[in-house]
Amino acid sequence: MIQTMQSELFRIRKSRLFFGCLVLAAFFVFALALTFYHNSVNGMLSAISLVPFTEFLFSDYSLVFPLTLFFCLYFTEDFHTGSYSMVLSKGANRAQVFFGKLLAAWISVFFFLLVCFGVAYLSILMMGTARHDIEYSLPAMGTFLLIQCLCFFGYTAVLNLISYLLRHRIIVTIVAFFVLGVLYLYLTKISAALDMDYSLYKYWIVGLSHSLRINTIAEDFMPILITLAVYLFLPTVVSFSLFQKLDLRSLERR
Amino acid sequence: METAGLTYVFPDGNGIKNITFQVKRGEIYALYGGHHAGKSVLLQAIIGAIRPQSGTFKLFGNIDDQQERRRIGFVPQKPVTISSLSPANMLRYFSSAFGTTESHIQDILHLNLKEKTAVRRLPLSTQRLVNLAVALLGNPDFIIWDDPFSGMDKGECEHLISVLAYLHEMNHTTLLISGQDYSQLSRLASKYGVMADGKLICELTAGELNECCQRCIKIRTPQLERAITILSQQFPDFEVLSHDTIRVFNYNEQSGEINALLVCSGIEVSEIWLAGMEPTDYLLKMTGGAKNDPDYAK
Repeated sequence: MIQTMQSELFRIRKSRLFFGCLVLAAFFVFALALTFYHNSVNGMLSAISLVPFTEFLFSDYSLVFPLTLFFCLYFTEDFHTGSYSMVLSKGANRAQVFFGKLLAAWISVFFFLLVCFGVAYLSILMMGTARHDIEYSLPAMGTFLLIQCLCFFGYTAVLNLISYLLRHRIIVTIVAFFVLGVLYLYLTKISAALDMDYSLYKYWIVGLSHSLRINTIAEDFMPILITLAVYLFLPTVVSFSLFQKLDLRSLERR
Repeated sequence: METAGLTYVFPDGNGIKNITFQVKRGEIYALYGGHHAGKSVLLQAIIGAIRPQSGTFKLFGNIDDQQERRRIGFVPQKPVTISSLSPANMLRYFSSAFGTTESHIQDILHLNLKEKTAVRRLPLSTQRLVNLAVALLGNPDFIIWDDPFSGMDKGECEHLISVLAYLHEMNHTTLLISGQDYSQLSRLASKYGVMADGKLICELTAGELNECCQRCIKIRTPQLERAITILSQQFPDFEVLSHDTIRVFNYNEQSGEINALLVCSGIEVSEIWLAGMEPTDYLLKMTGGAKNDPDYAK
C-alpha cells in the first residue's frame, strides 16, 4: 500500500492537470479574498475579521470545481489506460491498490487546500494590514478549516465511488458536475424555498453549506461528527467492496 | 504456469470457458486465435485484472498465485501510458509501485530514457517497448504479452522478435504471447494453444503443427500390406495412418506415377489425393471451422 501511495504521489506530482487545477483554485481564492476585502471596505468596517473570511472561502465552488475536474480524470485514468492490469500483474493486491490510491488522493487534497488557504490568507493580509486592523481567532478558524478538510476528504471518497461505478471519464465528469449542481440547488435555493431543515444533510457537501458556521460548531458538534463519519466511511467502504469485484481491464471502445 | 477449468463469461456470452493448459519453464507458448477468441480475457484472468468465475491456476507450481506474481511481467495489447509521463518517469512510477529497482534492459530495447516527450505522444512501437521495459522491472522469470505484433510494421516486428528471442535465450525467460499472425508467432513459439469462441481447441508443439500441415499424397486402399511392399521399393518415405490409409511424403509431383505403379501391380486404389496445407491456413481453418472438422487438413 505504501508503495502504491508513493507511486501515486509521484504521478500526481508530475501531473500538469493537478497543477493547472491548483493554479485555477488559487486564482478563484484570490478573487474571493478581493471580493471580501472590497465588501469590508464598502461596509466601512474599521477592522477586517478573518473569521467571517474563513467562512466566506467556502461559500461557493471555488475549491470544489477544480478538485472535481482533477479527481474525475485521475480516478478514471487507470480504467482508460488499463494500467491496473500492469500493477496487479506484479503481485499488488486490490486492497493495496485501492487504499494506496485513495491515501495519495487525500494527501494531495490536503496539499491543495494548504496552498489555497495560504494564498487566501496571504492575499487578505497583504490587502488589509496596511489600512485596517486584523481580527482573528486561531482555534475557531483552525477547527473550521479542519472540518472543511475532512469534508473534502469525504468528497474525494464520493468522487472515487462515482468513478468506480461509472468508469468512463467523460460520464463520470458530467455526473459529478451534475450532482454538484443539483446539490447546490437542493442545499440553497430549494431548501430555502421549502424551508427544509435536515440537520444531518446540511453540512455534507464541501463549500456549499451555509449552515456550517464557525460560531455554531460547538452546539452542532454531534451532527457534524456523524455527517463527517458517514461522509468519509460510507463511500470508502462501498467503493472498496465494488473495487474488489470490478473488471479492471482497459475500457474498450465498442 | 498451469490453469484448470478457468472460466469467465461476460453477459453477452463472450469470454473464456473451461480453459485448461500449462506453460512449462523455458517454453515460448503462443495463444493463437481470431478476434473474440478469448485470448486477452484469458491473459487478464491470469494476471488478476478480472476474477475468474470458476477454475484455478498455479504459478511456478504454487497455488498462492499472489505470492508468485512478482516473478511475472505483463505487457498489455493496448500500451499503457500514464498522463503526461515521459518514458523515464513512467519507469520510475512503476518501479515505485512494484517496489523494484529499475532494470537496465533499456540498452537491449534501444530506449531513449532522456526523451522528455510524454509516452502517449510517442510512436506505438516505442510505447510497446516502454511497456516491455516496465514489465521487465524486477527481472521476471515469466513474461506475458498480449498481441505484441498488432499494429507494428515489419521492421518493428523484427526488433521485437529479436528482443524476445534474446530474453528467452539469455535470461531463460518463459514467454506466453498471444496473437493472430502465425508468420510472426512462428518465429518464436515452441508451442501453440489454438483458441476459438472462448475455448482452447487444441495444443500443438511447433513440430506437431508442421507435421499436421505437411503436404503429402494420401492413398486409400483396401490392400494396405501389398501397397506397403510396393511403395517401400520406390517411394520409401511414407507413413501408415490407418488400416486403409497411407501418406507418402516428398513425392508430391509424382502422384500419377505412384497411382500407376499401384494400379499396374493390381492394387485397388480407392482414393488418392494431395493433402496438407500452409500452417496459417490450417490454423485459420481450425479457428474458423473448428466446430465442423478440426481434422480436415489431415
